[in-house]
Amino acid sequence: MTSGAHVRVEGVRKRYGGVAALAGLDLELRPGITGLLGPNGAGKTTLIRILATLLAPSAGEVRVNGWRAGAAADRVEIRRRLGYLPQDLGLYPRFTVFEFVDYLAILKELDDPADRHRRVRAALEAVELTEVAGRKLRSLSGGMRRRVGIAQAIVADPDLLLLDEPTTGLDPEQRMRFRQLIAGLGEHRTVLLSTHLVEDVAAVCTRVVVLGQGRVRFTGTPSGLRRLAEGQVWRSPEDGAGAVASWRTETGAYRVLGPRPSLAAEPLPATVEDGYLLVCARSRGDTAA
Amino acid sequence: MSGVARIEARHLARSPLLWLGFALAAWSTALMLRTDWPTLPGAALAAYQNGSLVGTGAVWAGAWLGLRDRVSGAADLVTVTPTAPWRLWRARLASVAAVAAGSFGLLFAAALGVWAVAGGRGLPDVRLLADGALAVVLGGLVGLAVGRLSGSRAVALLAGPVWFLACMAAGDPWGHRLSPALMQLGPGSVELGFVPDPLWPHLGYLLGLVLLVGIGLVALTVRGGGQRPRPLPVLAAVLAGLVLVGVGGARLFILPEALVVLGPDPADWKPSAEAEVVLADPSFAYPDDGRATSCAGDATLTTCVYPAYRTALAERVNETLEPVARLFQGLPGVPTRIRMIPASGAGRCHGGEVQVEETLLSWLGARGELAHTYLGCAVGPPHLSGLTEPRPGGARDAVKLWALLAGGAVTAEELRRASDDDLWGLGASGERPSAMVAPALAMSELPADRVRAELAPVWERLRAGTLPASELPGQRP
Repeated sequence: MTSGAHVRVEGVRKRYGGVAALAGLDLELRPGITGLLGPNGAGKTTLIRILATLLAPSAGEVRVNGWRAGAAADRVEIRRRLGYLPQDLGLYPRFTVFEFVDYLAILKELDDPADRHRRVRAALEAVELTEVAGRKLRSLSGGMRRRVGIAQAIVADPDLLLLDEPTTGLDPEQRMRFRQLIAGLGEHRTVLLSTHLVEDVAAVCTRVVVLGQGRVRFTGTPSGLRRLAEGQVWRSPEDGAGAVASWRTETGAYRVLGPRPSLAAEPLPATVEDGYLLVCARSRGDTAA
Repeated sequence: MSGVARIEARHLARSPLLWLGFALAAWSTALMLRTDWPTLPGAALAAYQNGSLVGTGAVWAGAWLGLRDRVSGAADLVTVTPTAPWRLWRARLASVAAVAAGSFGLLFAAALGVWAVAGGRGLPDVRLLADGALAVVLGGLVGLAVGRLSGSRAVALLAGPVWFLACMAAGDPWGHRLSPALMQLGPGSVELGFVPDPLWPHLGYLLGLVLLVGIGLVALTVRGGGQRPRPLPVLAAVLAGLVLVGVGGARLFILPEALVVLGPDPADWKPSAEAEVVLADPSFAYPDDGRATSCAGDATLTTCVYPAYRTALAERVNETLEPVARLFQGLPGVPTRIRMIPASGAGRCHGGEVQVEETLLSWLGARGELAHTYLGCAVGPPHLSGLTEPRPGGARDAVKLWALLAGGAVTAEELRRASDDDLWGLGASGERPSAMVAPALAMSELPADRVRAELAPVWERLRAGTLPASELPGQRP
């Protein structure tokens, strides 16, 4: 049974030409599920690819259990403990589900065929793909392909699991099952879950990191993120001028995030999403300033 | 990593691209059977013809494997595994090599089967299997390298035809030197049917190329991996590859562009320029190499071919020539035996034997030429104006035309038309075509036995070229 990984990211910068995707990022991940939130272009995928040892940072250092991702020999040790689901998942279309997961299990150094096949079957069962294990990957739906991606990520029982937009393409019922799966996996692993879906983070994550403009804008618990927005959420008969966000609800009243829009406005309980939107707004404000 | 190689091999073996090449090769073999004599050449066993086609399939299959990670988008999943890239690509190379060699082996076995069913005898040269398989493996590795390095589907798609055309560069001795099993036998090629010697340098040369291409490909994938192959085995393999390519290449380089087989002893093989001098000597005859052992016929005419052509070929040659031979039965100096030889310079007459080169004798469309060759030995060479005096009046050519008429090779109408229009170049000797055709037509009016009986007293003069046409049967009142 795995005991999780300790990930330390120190001063990591990454530039693509003249564009800074990560601008000096410090972060620490410990066993449990950490949600990685941020708007498009915040640097989430770049960070995940650096942690997955696919990209080298322009500056700074990444260590996993003390191994340095920049050192070739250490990188192999990190990869031995890594499960990765990329945002753009590519599969071998002519392979069957079982063959593909088995193939990657071999590359993950599961050398004993009997043990490996047992693990492949267990991974497929965990993502509820046992029934289609013999089907070609090209014949699967988008949601099923995503689950194949999760199966290959967990087949070698990794200490560190990096999931980049894992629920993309899943229907609500599948997302619910996925949350159950991730919650179970996070008990003994270090899981980094990058997503746009704040409700996924609120549902399963023990910690949350919000990126904005290539920097960490918030790190803490989901409830801590929610608390940032307490006292800034209102139900108002009118749209809030200068609000962070404001939209009309089914009752005809407005839900306003920001300063009290009017004396008639009533306070509402804040959500994690309110906290996230507030952090993003502050991040944009900082950059503008 | 053997697990990866097994999975890859299983998928490659199901690759439609590879089997497209295989199907083309099988089709080519069938075509050869249909258009040629109904036999397979014994030594070549279709490997020369078809290795290039299987090789093309192997190039495509290798390119597909080389491209797959990039095209499918699965490269990241593979990269983040702890397996060193060189180990992964070594396994993939192994799978390509195994499947490519296996598919060629299958074709070779199929050709052997057809050859056996068709009545082939003798022992096939299994070194051709090794040579062909290595050449096809090289194709697979080149495809893998092209797919891996180009990352382009269009380039990978083009790699197959480019490989095929390179192999089919007819008449290019360098192309033939790459691998005998990949190349069409053609003009300028080294005669390999019964000349196994150049095969060893080819095998070494190809093995060296396979090693170097494989190591080069693996070396290109090492970057970024946390593990490195141990340098000593790699260095040893590179050195072995270089030595094999160097020694094999040097051996092939010093080979003449074409060797003409002038006898069973390799010491008798000569480069074409030297061989021309030998072949121009009318006294030269190809020694009996003891290989033409499949025979058919009777005392009038016996035809003997190499065993792989089976007796069916001998029977068909005999069917063509026996009616002509029967016309001259019993006359002195008339050949009673046709023998297949590997040398070029067809139609040598030697001691009652006509020696005909393998390619001419096995070509179904050469029946007319065979008859002329036989008649040249039986009656004498064609009359050449100015070289013999006094002018004999084309008596020998007239007798040959009569033999073709009486043997059923041509009709009287065809002969008259040929005479009127000089279709066959009958006037090339300086005679009017009618001076040969008219006596031939007159003789054809007589019974064959009577013509033979009347030719007997003048036969030596006829063969010597001193008999005037006016003394031929049917010419005297």
